[in-house]
Amino acid sequence: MNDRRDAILRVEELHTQFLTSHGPVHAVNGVSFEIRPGETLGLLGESGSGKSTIGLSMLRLLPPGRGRISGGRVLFGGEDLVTASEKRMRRLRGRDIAMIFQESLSALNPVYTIGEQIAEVIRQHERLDRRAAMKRAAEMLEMVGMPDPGRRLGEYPHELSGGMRQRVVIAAALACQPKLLIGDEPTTALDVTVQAQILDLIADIQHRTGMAVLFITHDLGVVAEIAHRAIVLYAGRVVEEADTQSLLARPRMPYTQGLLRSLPQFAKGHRLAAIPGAVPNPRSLPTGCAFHPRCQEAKADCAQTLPALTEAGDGRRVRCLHWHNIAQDMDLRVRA
Amino acid sequence: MTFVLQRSIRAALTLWIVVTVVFTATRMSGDPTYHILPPNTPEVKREVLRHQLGLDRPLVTQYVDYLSGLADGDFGHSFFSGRMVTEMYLERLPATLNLALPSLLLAILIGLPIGTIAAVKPNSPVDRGLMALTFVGQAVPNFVLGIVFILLFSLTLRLLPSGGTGSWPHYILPVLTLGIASIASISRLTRSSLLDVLGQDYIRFVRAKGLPPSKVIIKHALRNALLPVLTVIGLQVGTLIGGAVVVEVVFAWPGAGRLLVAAVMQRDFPMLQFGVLAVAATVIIANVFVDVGCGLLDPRIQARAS
Ligand SMILES: Nc1ncnc2c1ncn2[C@@H]1O[C@H](COP(=O)(O)OP(=O)(O)OP(=O)(O)O)[C@@H](O)[C@H]1O
Ligand code: SF4
Ligand SMILES: [Mg+2]
Repeated sequence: MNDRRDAILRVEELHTQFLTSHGPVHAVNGVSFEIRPGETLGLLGESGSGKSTIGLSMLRLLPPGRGRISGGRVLFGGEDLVTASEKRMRRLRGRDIAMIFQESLSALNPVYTIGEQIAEVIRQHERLDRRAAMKRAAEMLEMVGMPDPGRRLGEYPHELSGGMRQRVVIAAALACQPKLLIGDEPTTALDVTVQAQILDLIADIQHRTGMAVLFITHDLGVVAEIAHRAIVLYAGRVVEEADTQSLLARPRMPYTQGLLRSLPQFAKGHRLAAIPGAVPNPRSLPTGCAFHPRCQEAKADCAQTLPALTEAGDGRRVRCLHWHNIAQDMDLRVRA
Repeated sequence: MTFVLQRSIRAALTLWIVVTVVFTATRMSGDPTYHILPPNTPEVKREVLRHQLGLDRPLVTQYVDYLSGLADGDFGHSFFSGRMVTEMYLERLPATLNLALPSLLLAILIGLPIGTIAAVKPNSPVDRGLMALTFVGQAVPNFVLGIVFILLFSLTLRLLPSGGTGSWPHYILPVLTLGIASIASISRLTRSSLLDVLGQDYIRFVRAKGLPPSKVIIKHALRNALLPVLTVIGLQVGTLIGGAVVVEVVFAWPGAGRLLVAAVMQRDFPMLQFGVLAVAATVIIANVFVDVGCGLLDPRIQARAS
C-alpha cells in the first residue's frame, strides 16, 4: 500500500544477547525489517524466538546489566537509537514510540490511580498542568471505549477488569500520539471478545492518526486480522517476510508452512500437525539453517550453509536454500 | 468498623496473655522478701512483710486481684518504694524515649537511602560495600557495640562522654549504639524490597513512558517497596525498646529500661509487671500506626479494611 512513503522505522542487522551465568544467550541474530507510517507489521514467532527482545532493544529497555545490543542499527526517522543518549531515548519513549507489554495485566502501578498513570506520561512530554493533563487522560479513556471515563480517572487498577486495564494501558501508550506503537502480545491475556475489541480499537486509532504499529504475536489468527505485512522469526532470525495475505496463502519457508499446518483455520485440507522437535537452544544454535533439525525438506547442505534472506518476488523475502522447489510444492498442496 | 473491633479484641487478648505470662514468671522467680529485707532477718518478720505485700494469699486470688486492679487502672505499688509503679515508670520513660525515638528516626533516615542506593545498582561495588557494613551492623550485639564505642570515642580519642546525660554529645554514642542494628535491618529490607519492585512489569511500563530514573525509583518503585519496610519499622519499635535496656545499662542512662533491670534484680513484681505491659502496649500501638501507614500507601489495603 504505502510503498512510496519512507519507512519511519528501519531495523538493520540487529543483534541482541543476554549475559547469563551459563554464558551468553543469542536472542536476536541479525534481524532487519522496516515499517512505514500507517502500516502494521506483524512479528510472528514461537515462544523464545526473540520477539519481545526485539521490542525491548528498540526502546533500549533491556534488563540493565543483562541484555545488550551487540550490533546493528535501529533507525527511527533516520536517527540511530542504538547509539542515542539515554536522555534522548527518554524523550522518545512514550512520546514518539510507545510500547504495550506482554504482561499488560500487571503493567499498571497498583498504588496510583488510572488518571494519574495516564496523565503522567502526558505531563512528562508536554507542557500541561495537572488539570489539563487529567482532562486529556479522560479523553483518552473515552477514545479507548472506557465507559464513564470521568469517574474512572480516580479509580485504582485493582478496581478494573482485565479488559479495562488493558484499555488503560493502551490509553497511556497512545496519550502522546506516538508515531510508532510496539504491541507485544497486547491481547493474549484477554478473552476472545475483548481481544477483538482491542484489535479493532488499535486499527481504528491507527487509521485516524497514521501511526505505525509493530504487532508482536505468536498468533497467526491475530496477524491475519490486523497486519498488513508480517515477518516470521525463528531462533532470532527473520526467516520469511511477505504481505499477510500471501504469507498465509502461500508460505514459502518450510517453517512458516509448518506453523500454518499446525492450525486448523489455515491447514486447508492438510493433516493437522505440529512441527516435530523443539525450538533450538539460543545458547548454541544449529549450524547452517537453524531450522534444519526440524525441517522435513532439509537436504545435505542445510546443515552447512546459513541461507541468506533472499528476495522472492512481490516484495517477499525467504531464508531457505531450497525455497524455489518447496514453494512449488506447497502451492500445489494448498490448491489440492 | 468490624475491622477496628477485630483489632481491638486481638490487642486486648495479646495484652492479657502478656500479663498472665509475666505474672506467672514473677511468682516463680523467688521470694521478694529476701531482696527487700537484710539477709539475717528472722522468718517472722518476713512473714509479716509477705502478708503486707499480699504474697501469702493463694496465687489465684493474687491473680484475680491483680486483673481487677488493672481493670480499674490500678497497676499497683512498688514493693520497694511503695510508690505507684505508673508514676515511677512515667518518670523514667522520657529518658528512654529520648534514646529510642532518635534511634528510630536515624534508622529510617539512614536506612532508606542506603537501601535505595544499594538497590539502584545491585551487585556494584557500592552495593557490596554497603551490604557488608549492614551485615556487620546486624551481627554485632548492642552491648559489644556500646563497649567498643566507649573504648574508641571516649577512652582513646576522648571525643565523646562515655555515659550519663546532660548535653547533646551525651546522646551520640547511645543513640548510635541502639540504632545501628535498626539501620542495618531497614537498609537490607529496603534494598531487597526495592529490587523486587524494580523487576515488576509496571516499572518497565513506567520506563517505557519516558519517565526519568528519579521518578521511576522514588515515585513508582519506592512507594510500593515501602510496604514491607513499614512493617519492619513497626517491629523495630519493640526491638529498640528492648535494646534500650542494654544500652541504658552500658551508658548509665537513667531510663525506664534500667528501672526494669533493677525491678528484675529486686523481684519488684508490680514494677516488672507494669514495665512489660507498657512495652507490649507500645508495640501494639506502633503496629496500629503501621497499619494506618500501609493503608495510606496502598489503596488495595484500604479496600480490604473497609
Ligand atoms: N532477561 C533475560 N535473561 C536471559 N535470557 C533471556 C532474558 N530474556 C529473554 N531471554 C532469552 O532470550 C530468548 C528470546 O526471548 P524473548 O522473550 O524475546 O522471546 P519471545 O519470542 O518474546 O517469547 P514469548 O513468545 O515466550 O514471549 C529466549 O531464549 C529467552 O530465554
Ligand atoms: S534451508 Fe534447508 S533446512 Fe532450512 S528451511 Fe530450507 S530446506 Fe529446510
Ligand atoms: Mg515475548
